[in-house]
Amino acid sequence: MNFLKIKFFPNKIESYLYFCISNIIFIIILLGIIEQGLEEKNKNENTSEVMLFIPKIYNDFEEKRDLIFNQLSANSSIISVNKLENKEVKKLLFDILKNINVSDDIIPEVYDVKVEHSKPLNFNIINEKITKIIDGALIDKISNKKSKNFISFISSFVILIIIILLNNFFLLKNYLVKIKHYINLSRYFGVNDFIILRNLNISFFILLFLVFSICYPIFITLTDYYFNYVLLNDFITIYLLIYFFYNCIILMILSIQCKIYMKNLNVL
Amino acid sequence: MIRLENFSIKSNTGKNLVKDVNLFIPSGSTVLIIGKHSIGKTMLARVIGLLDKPAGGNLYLLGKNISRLSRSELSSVHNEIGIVFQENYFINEFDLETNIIFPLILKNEKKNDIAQALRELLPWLSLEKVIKEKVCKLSIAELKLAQFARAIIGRPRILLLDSFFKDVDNTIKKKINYLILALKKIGTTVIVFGESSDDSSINFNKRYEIYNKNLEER
Repeated sequence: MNFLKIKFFPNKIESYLYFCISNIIFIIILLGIIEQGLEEKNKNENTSEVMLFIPKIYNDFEEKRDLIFNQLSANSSIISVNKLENKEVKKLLFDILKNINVSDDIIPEVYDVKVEHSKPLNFNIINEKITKIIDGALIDKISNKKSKNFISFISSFVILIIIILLNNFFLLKNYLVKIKHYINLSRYFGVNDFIILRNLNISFFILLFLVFSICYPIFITLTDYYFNYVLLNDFITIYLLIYFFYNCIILMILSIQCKIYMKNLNVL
Repeated sequence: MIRLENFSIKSNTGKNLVKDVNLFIPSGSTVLIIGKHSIGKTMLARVIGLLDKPAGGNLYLLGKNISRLSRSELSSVHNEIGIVFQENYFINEFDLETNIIFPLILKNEKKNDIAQALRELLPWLSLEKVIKEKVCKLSIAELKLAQFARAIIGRPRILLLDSFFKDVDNTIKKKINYLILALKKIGTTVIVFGESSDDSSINFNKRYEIYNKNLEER
């Protein structure tokens, strides 16, 4: 006779397994989204999206381009300059060019410039200097990429949260329906509603603890071995915060549903 | 004790079953309430067992007017009531033993006390051999006895037996009579709801019949 099982896990093991497995999957996806979003945010905080455009000219292009780089290297705000492939530039220009086939010679060289966030660049002064070297060369801040990433992060996060809430809402509702006789008989024989509610909360708290304990090594393994991705330094803090809020939300859904369910079970 | 004051009950369809009844059942008495099929015995048992609300009037259980009690106060009154349902009401996932004792486990009764209560009760009801069986494998009579065991294991002050003796043989009936006598001695009020009063194995203090929407003494 297992008193703990009777008290805290009165239903069949399948319903608890389903709760655990579905939540493990959702939590791993949620962690991935949050981790990526924070990584992106950190990147954006440390560097700004600055682009350098150098139009291709026929006379001494390479020497003049080197002169521009020499000018830029004197600026302490600039961390690095990376050339974008012609393909990537065409992709960026796709909205304008549509199906027009453009020769590589007339596409300017485009560079992604990493700039220290704490030291903003004075674009006017730099532009004055570089246009003297190659007419039409331009360095400027592009904000498009950042907002696009942020919107995709927020939308995927919100969609996942809605899916998690709906999944748990229906799982818990179904669970309460399955233990209807257990709740009813407990109440008929004098078990206080608070005790039933407390026991259910304890059981799902234990399950969520198990779920999060399993999720951690799985997520670390996935990121380390399969995606070759380095986690943020404060990942543990983020993980514990997610655990705390996840617990609060799921247990709140359970308590509210259970209260409503018990109220509707019998008139007294 | 149980007191009904201008007490009325209605069926689920809204039909009056019992109207304006006044009745007093003292502690430690055994009462039989009979009536024809679908006359309202089960509904009366459910209302006295606090599973349904009366349609009108007042119901006093153990000195408390139940219409004025909060949910947690109702729980404490429920704690004093043992009920045997007409249908066998069990949790199919649990074995028979768990079905009998799980309310006690939830009420944090001590393991040893529960085990001792089971040891004392099971031989009386001849349930020792099937105690570890799933409820779906048991006969109707065994399930009735298991319901009885679940109802009295917590030593209730009010015991309600709805159509209980229908499926129980005479030997077991005699044993149950002894148990009811023992419960009477500790002040338990026993109300048996049934269809006929020709059962002589139980000593009832009073017999009532639901007749003409009233409770008439027989």
